[in-house]
Amino acid sequence: MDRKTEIGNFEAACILLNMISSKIILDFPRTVSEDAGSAAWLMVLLDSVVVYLLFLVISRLYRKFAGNDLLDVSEAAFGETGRIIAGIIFLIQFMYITHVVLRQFAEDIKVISLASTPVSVVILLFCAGMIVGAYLGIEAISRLHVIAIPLLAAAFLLILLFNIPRYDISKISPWLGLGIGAILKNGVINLSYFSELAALFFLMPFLKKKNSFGGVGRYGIFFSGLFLVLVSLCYLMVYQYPMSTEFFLPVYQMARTIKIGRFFSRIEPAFILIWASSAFLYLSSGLFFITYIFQRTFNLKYRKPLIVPFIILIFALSLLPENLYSTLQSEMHVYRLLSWLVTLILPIILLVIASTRAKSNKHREEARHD
Amino acid sequence: MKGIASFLKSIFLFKPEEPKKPFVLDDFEHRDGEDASDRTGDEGAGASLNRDEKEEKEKERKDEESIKNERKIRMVKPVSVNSSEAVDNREESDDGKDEVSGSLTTSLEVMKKRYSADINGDFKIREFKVRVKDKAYPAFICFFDGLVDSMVINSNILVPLMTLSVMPMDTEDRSVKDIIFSHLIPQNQIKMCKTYQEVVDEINFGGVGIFIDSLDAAFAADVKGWEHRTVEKPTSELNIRGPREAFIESIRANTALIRKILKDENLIMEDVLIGERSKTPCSIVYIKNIANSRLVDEVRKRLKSIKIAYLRDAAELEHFIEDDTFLPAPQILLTERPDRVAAYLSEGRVAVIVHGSPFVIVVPITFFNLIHSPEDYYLRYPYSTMLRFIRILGILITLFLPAVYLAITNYHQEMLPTDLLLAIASSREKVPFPTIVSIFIMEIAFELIREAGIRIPGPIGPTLSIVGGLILGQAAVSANLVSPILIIIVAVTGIGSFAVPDFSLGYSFRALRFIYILLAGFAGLLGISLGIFINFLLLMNAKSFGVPFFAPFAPKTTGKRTNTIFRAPLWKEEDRPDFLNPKDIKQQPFISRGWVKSEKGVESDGQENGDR
Amino acid sequence: MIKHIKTVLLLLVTISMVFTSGCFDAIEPDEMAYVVALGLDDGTDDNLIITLLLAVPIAVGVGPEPGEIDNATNMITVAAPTILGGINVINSLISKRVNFTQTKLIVISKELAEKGVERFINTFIRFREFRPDTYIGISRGRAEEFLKESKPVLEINPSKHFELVMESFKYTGFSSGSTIEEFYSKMECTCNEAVAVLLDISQIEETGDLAGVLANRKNSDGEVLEGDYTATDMPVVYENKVRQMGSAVFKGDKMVGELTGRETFYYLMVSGKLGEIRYTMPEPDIAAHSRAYVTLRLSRARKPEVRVKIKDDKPVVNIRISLEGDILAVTGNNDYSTGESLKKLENYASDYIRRDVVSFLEKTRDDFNSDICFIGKSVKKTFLFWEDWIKFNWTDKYKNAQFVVDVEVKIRRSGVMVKQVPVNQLKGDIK
Repeated sequence: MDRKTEIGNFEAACILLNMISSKIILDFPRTVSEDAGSAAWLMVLLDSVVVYLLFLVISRLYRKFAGNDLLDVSEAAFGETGRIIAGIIFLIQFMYITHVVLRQFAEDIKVISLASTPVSVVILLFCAGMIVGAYLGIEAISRLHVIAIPLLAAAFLLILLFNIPRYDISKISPWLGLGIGAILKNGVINLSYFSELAALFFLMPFLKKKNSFGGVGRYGIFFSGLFLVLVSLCYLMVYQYPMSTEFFLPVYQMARTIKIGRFFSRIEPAFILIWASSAFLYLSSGLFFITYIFQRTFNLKYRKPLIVPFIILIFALSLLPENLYSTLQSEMHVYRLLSWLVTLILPIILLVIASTRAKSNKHREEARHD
Repeated sequence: MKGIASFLKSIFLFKPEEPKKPFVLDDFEHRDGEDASDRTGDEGAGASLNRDEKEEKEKERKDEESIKNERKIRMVKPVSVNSSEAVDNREESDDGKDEVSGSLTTSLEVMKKRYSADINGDFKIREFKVRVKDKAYPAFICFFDGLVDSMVINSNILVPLMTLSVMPMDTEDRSVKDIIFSHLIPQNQIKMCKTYQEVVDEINFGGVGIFIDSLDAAFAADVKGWEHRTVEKPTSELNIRGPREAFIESIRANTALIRKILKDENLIMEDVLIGERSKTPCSIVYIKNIANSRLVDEVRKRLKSIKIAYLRDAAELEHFIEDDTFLPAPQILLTERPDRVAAYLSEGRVAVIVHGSPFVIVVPITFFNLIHSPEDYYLRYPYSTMLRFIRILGILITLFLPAVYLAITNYHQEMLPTDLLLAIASSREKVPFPTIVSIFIMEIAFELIREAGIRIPGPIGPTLSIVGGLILGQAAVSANLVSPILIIIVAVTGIGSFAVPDFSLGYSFRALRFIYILLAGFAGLLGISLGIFINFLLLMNAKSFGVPFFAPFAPKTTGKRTNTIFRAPLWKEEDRPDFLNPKDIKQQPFISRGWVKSEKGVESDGQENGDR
Repeated sequence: MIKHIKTVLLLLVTISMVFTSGCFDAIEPDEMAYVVALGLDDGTDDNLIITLLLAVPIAVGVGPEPGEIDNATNMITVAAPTILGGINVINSLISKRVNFTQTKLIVISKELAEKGVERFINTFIRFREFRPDTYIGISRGRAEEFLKESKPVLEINPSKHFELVMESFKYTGFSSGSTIEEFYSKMECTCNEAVAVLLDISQIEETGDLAGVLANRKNSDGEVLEGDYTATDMPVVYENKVRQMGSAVFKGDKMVGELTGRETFYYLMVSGKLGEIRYTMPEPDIAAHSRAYVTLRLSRARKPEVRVKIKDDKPVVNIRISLEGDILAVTGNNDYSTGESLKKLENYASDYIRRDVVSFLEKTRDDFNSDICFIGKSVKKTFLFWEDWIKFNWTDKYKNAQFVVDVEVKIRRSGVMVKQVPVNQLKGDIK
């Protein structure tokens, strides 16, 4: 690429929003209500606030390194080995979440509509979209996000709106659910729901104005937090705990019962179009980030030849779990325990070390001058 | 392998030396072939090879080269290394010097030979005498009959030269050439030519060459007068309101049509000649103090670097200058309405007019320009908004309806209300084909009817299309070959495809429809969403002359997005499109309707804060 | 060569897509048999008797003229331990695949319901093809009989028939619309219990039998108001023998009792799901004893306010119901349209309804011991922690509940007439 690719602020915010909010249409409402009972929405609200505050801290520290992505920061902190290690950690994180989400989406679509198709064929369909997206690069993906995300958000809000007759505030009682202890303990672990925030740190070099990543991140976290809270709130208002822990696709279940007169019922396959679009956007961004991180970690010249090996890897990994839910859930437990550290704590550590190193370098320079 | 075979052949089978085959166009003269092969020998073989090996090598190359290579060399051949002087090179290889000779007989010989006057039936020569400074000079004019206006030649060239030269005029110390040029040829476009090639170029495009004995220059006057269409209504972009003129095939008429709408001295029409043989005159049209100069440079660069033999039409030019040939959407707009071109020019775009084509190219465009129709501006704001909405609905229908029908009836039956589902099921009871096969049959039949309907002559045409459609459809239903619901779907899809204003985009949707049907048959709505994802990704990635294809939306520019999907009322459109980076972005002030302001300066339509 | 490989591969992929499309999951709509209604009965030895009512598309849709096949539905019965296993058996003998996405009604027989419906409801919820808005009904007799006797008379399309019949609760109020998901949600709730529609087949052949049926139901006042019976005793003569009236009350997943149509009115009023009903009551001037009635159209004015106070482990439930309505008809001579009489009518209506509501609530407490009116919801709101709520155990406490009900009826309009001048006032008493 002889010309530098640039994406705008709105586009970066849409990418962030999609990556964090995609899990709405997977089993996010169900797992949070498992963790915190009928106060799940409260837990998600607290999580969003905490992530927002942490991001404010990170963006303050990051101001010195504006325009550099996290690998440059880790290089400034620990040298080349630091960059490679940080790169590998983030690579593992992205690969993990991509293959798990890929498998989940494929299985969900299989349950909803394509029941007899082998899961590998459905995964192949998703992979076809991923390959095209990752090949064309972040510019094309981000432009598609700009057009698609407002529509997807509107469709999602439509589902919530149509369910208004079924909302019942008393279903959220008892108000503190499984107890404050459960909320706090699980709340810390559930910070991992925002772990795709790491994508923002790698989008930094592409932003047009160096210092605008703060605004992008704040908007992204705010809106994705809003959507996450809304969906858990509305889901619990329709299906009370403990019934809310039973459904495997909560938003699908809510969409199923939309009925406007005799004619407009059963329109939930229309939402398949919307969910599949969100899935494609998420997965192709994920694959782009994987290849991009790999390229930047090892300072390779070309990115596009990496697409084919990684897609094969992800395809193979996503077929590893044998049966759907128990295995995926146990995998997600492992992921959820650790990924909030990777996304939220590790950058802070790196930034602090890098800025102290930079300061000490500057002092040394000044000392040498004197 | 092939080298060994031909080597063995040349040893064991004695072949006399072949005359050198000219491996370019057949009408290339033998002299040129010699020179050409000399040049090839110098370039390709290198100086160290002796003549025999050189011949062998050339023979081998001629033998084994594929047509593509021949074509390549054919293309390179007449132009050679210094390609910018193409015209002169050819002249050099002909004659060495092309200057007009003072001797009339020489000139006559040259012209006759040049134009093969003995076999060229419409090349006319008229010899006469001109009387200047009391001396009669023999002269002749030559022109193509049919390309010129005979009345103008008679009255403006022959009459003055033959008769009016006896009128008294001040001729004392001026050269004959000067006198003739300044006084004796009262024609408004005349050129003094030093070389034969200039005269030939003028004669080829409707000029008349005037050769006078003892002058070292010839004159070439522009007396174009061939038969052409008059300015008529546009055939493909019809409208009810608004002007109804369309471009015709003559370039000066087209430029005039634009100029009479934009009476702007900054409207520039640059001339470019495209095509080696056809030398088609084209004009790059832009407004100097609005259009981005880098854009104009890019257009100029692309046009000047085209090397083809013969340019027929603006649509062919489109193939040569578009960014991406395989994209499922056109990146260049072709229109035959001058008012539309004028509107685009005043936004800061660039137009290219090609002689001989009633369509004018406008670049750069975005996807949304392809779904605008010129009538949007001539209707009132609420109606045009509604019309755009219907047009977008038509686009969605033509692209997705058969695929969505297939996906729903085969994969997601629960979406249909029970009555509809039972109706579909019962209508399919007797149909032997699966749904996807009957959709393909009906779609292909519809495309056949459409394609054939273009070529059916005269009054039978539309009737047969309608009759064919109706009766075929009805008969197919009665014969239980297709289900009646499918006929409706295919018909509505076909109608929707006519709602697309741009001809090229309509074709692309017709082609894409089949891909969506395949995808829907494979994986239902998931396949359709995969198709939408890849399709839109490719479209988003596209650029048209540096402007991203989905410009006001996809990279979110800071300008207003008034004229994309929906329009704003005309008095609100203050800015030119931001993505074109024009030199002057404001086209209207904030208050463009002066009467809205009352004397005190407060807007009288009741809104204290205005439209801010 | 490499360039050609790409195009060849792409062609291969496309062509193989064409040939394999239809291998996975693509089912033509005419290869499926759509089930309109499903019936479950109790069989011997743990077996279920599963009855399917299949729609015949040709009778319903476009194509050959409707009427060639006189029956728009087909019935098929199988005995199997599980529902889906039984469907598998059925699939092997009919020409199309059974598909439940258009099922509108599931009928469970009463004896099966009394044994517990949880195992079926779980299947209905889990299996994707069952829609969440399919209605559930409990039939007194056998579900198979019920489905056999149901013949759509006013339309050809059987699924439309069932759907419209089941949706009538919105404007009659004689049953509560219980769809699978609502039923399941109420069943799984810790704070209330589920109800379902009561269905039956009428045994009445001709009009002469009507009097006998009504005679069985006379209440203390010697009158049988409309809706004061269940589906079994409905005094209606109709070609289509299907009857729907009243509700079946569940505790947990077992059926414990029945409510009549009028009691379902009160259920709807207390739980706040009242749509619009036409309510008959005797006229306030009881002294006349002239069997004069007033018909009101009642609908909910405000959500019922339920407040529960716990006094010595006994809940005291305060319910405040606000209704509003119009006068539809007055059969007696007294005119209640305006002024003082209107107020008298309102007060009488409020009191009358209040008494009935209290007796209904006491019936749920004493006979059924199941809180179907969402009273537990208001209790749950006062809790902060889930464990405390579970420890509180509302379902046990319900049997000691005391009900204090306050009903307020406001009459807004009185039809087209503002004043009704009785005939005997004009012409004197006609003997």
